[in-house]
Amino acid sequence: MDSLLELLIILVFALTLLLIILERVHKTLAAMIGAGFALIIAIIPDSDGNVLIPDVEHLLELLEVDLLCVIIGITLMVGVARTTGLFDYIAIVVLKKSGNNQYKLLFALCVLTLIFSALLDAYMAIILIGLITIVGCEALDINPKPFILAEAIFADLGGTMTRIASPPNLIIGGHFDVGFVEFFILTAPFVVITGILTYIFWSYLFRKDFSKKISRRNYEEILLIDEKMIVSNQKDFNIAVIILILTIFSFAIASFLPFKIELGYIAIAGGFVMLGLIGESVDQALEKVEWSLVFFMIGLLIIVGVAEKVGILEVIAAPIEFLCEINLLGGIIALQWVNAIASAVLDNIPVASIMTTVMDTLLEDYPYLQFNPLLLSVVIGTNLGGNITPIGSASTVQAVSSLNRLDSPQFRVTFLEFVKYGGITSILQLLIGSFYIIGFWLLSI
Amino acid sequence: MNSFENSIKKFREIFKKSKVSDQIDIKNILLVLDETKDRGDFIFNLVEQLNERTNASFIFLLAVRGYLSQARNANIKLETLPELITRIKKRFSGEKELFDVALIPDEKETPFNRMKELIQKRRIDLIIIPAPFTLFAQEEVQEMASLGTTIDQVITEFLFKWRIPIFSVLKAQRTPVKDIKVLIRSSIFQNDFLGWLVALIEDNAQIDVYYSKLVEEKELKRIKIFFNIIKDKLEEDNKKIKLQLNQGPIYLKDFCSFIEKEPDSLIVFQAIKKIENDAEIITSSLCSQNSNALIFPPTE
Repeated sequence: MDSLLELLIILVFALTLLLIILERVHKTLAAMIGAGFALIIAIIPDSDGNVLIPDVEHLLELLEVDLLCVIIGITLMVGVARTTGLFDYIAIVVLKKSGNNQYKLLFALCVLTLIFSALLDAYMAIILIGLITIVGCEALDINPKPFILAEAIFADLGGTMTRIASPPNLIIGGHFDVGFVEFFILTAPFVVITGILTYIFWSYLFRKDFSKKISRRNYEEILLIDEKMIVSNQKDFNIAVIILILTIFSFAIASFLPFKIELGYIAIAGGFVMLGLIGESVDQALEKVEWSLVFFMIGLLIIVGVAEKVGILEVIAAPIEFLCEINLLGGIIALQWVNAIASAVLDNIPVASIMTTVMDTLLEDYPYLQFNPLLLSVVIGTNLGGNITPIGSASTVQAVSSLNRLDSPQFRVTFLEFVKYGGITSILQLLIGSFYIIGFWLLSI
Repeated sequence: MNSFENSIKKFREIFKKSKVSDQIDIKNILLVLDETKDRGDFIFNLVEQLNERTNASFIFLLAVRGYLSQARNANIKLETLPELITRIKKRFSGEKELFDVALIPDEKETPFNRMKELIQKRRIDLIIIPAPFTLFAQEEVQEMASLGTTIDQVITEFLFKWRIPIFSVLKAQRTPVKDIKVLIRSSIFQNDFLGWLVALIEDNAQIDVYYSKLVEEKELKRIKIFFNIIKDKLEEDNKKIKLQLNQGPIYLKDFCSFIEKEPDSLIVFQAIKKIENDAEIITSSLCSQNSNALIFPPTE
């Protein structure tokens, strides 16, 4: 490849990342513009007459079709299931069961966020639970801020738990073909331990707010809410429950089947069946698919794929390789923190895309490098780094924006205030993550 | 407004619906007057009271106006429109903007159709109607399971389909109402019923609530919580209304015959959604044959 073409691709790659960081244009648009230019450059023949991407087949190789199918299938399925009131129903039941004590309520909402986030999607989890939290806190006359912020943090923590829970997991898990259960077994103990410690820490951090007693009358009025009012059609509700359970069950058993079935296949099947049986209008249902995320991924995968072909990403891997030269475990831990910091300032999706190549390079260069600790370092770093700043992940952005839209100024949260709580909590979580990775390394699991 | 704000609004509505309040949001009340003078007076008393306790506007429908020629032939004196307006003015001087008068224009129109027309034009929160309906000194034919064509249609259409509460006035009672008997069946009772009752009842009156054995354990727990809140609220507002929760008969018809022994009480019940058929309508009508009744539409 000619050095001029390489230079042009480096320029497009760097400019695209810069546009995403600066947020001057929509991140999807930035990725699409970058991908467009990268494709134009990739078709220019070099001095030997070779081109980087000669045809559509080669282009499709860059796109992780399984990953795109998971996003389309899951967002369609969750979007249609949401119209049946299923998630709101669960959230109201949880509120009724735990709304008499703030510590109990915090615990219940955090666990629910964790589950929704692990099984659906972190962003969807914060939207679904954030809504009921805001209105529930209004009814209980308590401060929603500690709850909403905790939910953002638990949404990202839950996003660490399964292969389908967040785009970084989809990218990394898909690239290395890690099964749903395999991924879960690796990350679930970390999420549970970190979840418990985060809950204790958060309870301490907001002890003044949480020690306020909830009025008996306010709680009793919550008990009077009839969650069935949410369900407009019981049949659709039941269908949504069954399809969701079957889909999650299929994700889990896919690893144990004698034939290979990818998660994207299951997600698309689940999404289409849900849409077909619930009878939602097709146009409205398709609006529920996160097309913006799908095209962001397509754009990004093209840019990263082209950049990989010219060897740019190996340059990014060089500092990590340098650390690995000194100490392999130290290099992995450093990778976790580099990922976290990069995800705090940049979207964690490009970070994860770049990291797959970095991981490939490391695995190639260091035959004794254990895969599981390496995977954990990238997954934990990219997912939890988003909690450091309010712009670090979609969940934190949504949480802060929903609090700032409330009428009472006392519930609003500033950038620095978020960093004060989210940053400290993230450091705690990342430290736990480092110890967890060390444990895996030492036990050679 | 984006979808997040819309969803917040939707949730707030659900929470608001479940909130126990002794206030009700009544915008318009439709009062149907037939030719029965004593019940008309009762309705006027009711208006006076509702006027004090709510912000509602009132629409009087003089249901016999279109039948003037027939009445003349039958030698029956009907109240004319000017007479009605004078009566309203005399009774509610200075507050006339609260009142509106509607008529049945001609004999081809029926009271029911005229009501339907009015309901289509604006939101009506309560219909107060004499039952059975009287024209030319004759009550509409009552059969075994009917209060007459008009009231049967009102219950079928406006209660069940339009979901408007109906206050059927069988006889002229004292107002404010002294004694209210409420039956709660297996359906979920609407939470704003206290607001309705407070608007209708004397300050030191008695509300007896009977829950049927069909009420599930979970629902009964909810009812008890509901009553605790109501009692607290009444105490806070210094209202001396006595509130009692008792176990009562299973079926509406048993409840109605049970209440028959206490003729001065107003009976209150909610229609059941699932029995959106003749049986429920007939029972509702039969119940109204014994006493004045406030019937709520079934829960959505």
